[in-house]
Amino acid sequence: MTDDDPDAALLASVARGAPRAAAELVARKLPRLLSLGQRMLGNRAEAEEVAQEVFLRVWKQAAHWQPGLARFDTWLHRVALNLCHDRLRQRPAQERLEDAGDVVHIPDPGSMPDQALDAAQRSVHLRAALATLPQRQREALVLQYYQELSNSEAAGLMNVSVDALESLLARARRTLRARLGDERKETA
Amino acid sequence: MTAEQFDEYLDLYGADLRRWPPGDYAAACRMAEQALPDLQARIAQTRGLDAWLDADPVAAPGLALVNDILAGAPKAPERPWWQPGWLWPAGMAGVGLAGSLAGAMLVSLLLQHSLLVPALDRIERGTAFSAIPMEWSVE
Repeated sequence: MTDDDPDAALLASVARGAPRAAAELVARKLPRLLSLGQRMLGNRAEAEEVAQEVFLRVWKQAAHWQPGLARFDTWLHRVALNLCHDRLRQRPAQERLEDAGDVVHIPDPGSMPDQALDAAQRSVHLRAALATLPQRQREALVLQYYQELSNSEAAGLMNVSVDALESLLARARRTLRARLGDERKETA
Repeated sequence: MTAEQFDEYLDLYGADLRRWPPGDYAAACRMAEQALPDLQARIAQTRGLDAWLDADPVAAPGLALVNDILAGAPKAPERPWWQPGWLWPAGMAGVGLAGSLAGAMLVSLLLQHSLLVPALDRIERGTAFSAIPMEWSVE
């Protein structure tokens, strides 16, 4: 599929047991995996567990990796996403309802002036708003906006068409905008 | 690029035009510069949402997590205990030195032998017996 995978050579060094290569691969990929896990699961500790599980698979797979069949980064995202899906499925029904956006009440930041919201508060509000998005919308936004994957890469990972992904993205942004109070501020 | 397409892209990619498809970047920049007030308002609204989305940075991984992960990384095959890494070059050097010494000894032995043989020869030829004329009995 692609012969210019920027991670292929590094992965080959990892397979040979080069300690520096393993450290470099972790430095290159771990922050992105944590970002994906934390935003998908809304929980840092679980995100770290997912990242560890992903790397266990990387270490096992390194010697068998066949360059050209798939981009390593895409494979990495697929493994991480599947692990996140497993964890989301195992959550109690109440939490899944919250994932669907039916239950959670988030603070209304629109009622506060922006200056009054420090960075930590904004972060809390955003996480709450992201948590209320339906899982597929959140996933589309996380992959495309935060992980900076192309629409076709994100669509491929989610097994949907690009059109379907774009529809999910647009709905996610509209929902967030409404929940974060921008609409209200505009009309005020 | 039409105003409708610009509006649609705001919902897909946000207000940062660098995130938009590269092929549409130039046209999008032109449209943003010439945007009418309602489109300007949409850009501002989208920029506000982008600011929210960027308000939740993910903390860098801690050292303990990195170390835990690296502990499981593949290791290069270890040498046997009797052949640690530092001993291997030293051993090779030792073998080379021993070979050189043995060679030098052999050469010296050979040389000694080649010098010794004529000397022995001379000694043998120069014995009292050999120096004695064969016809001594005649005398």
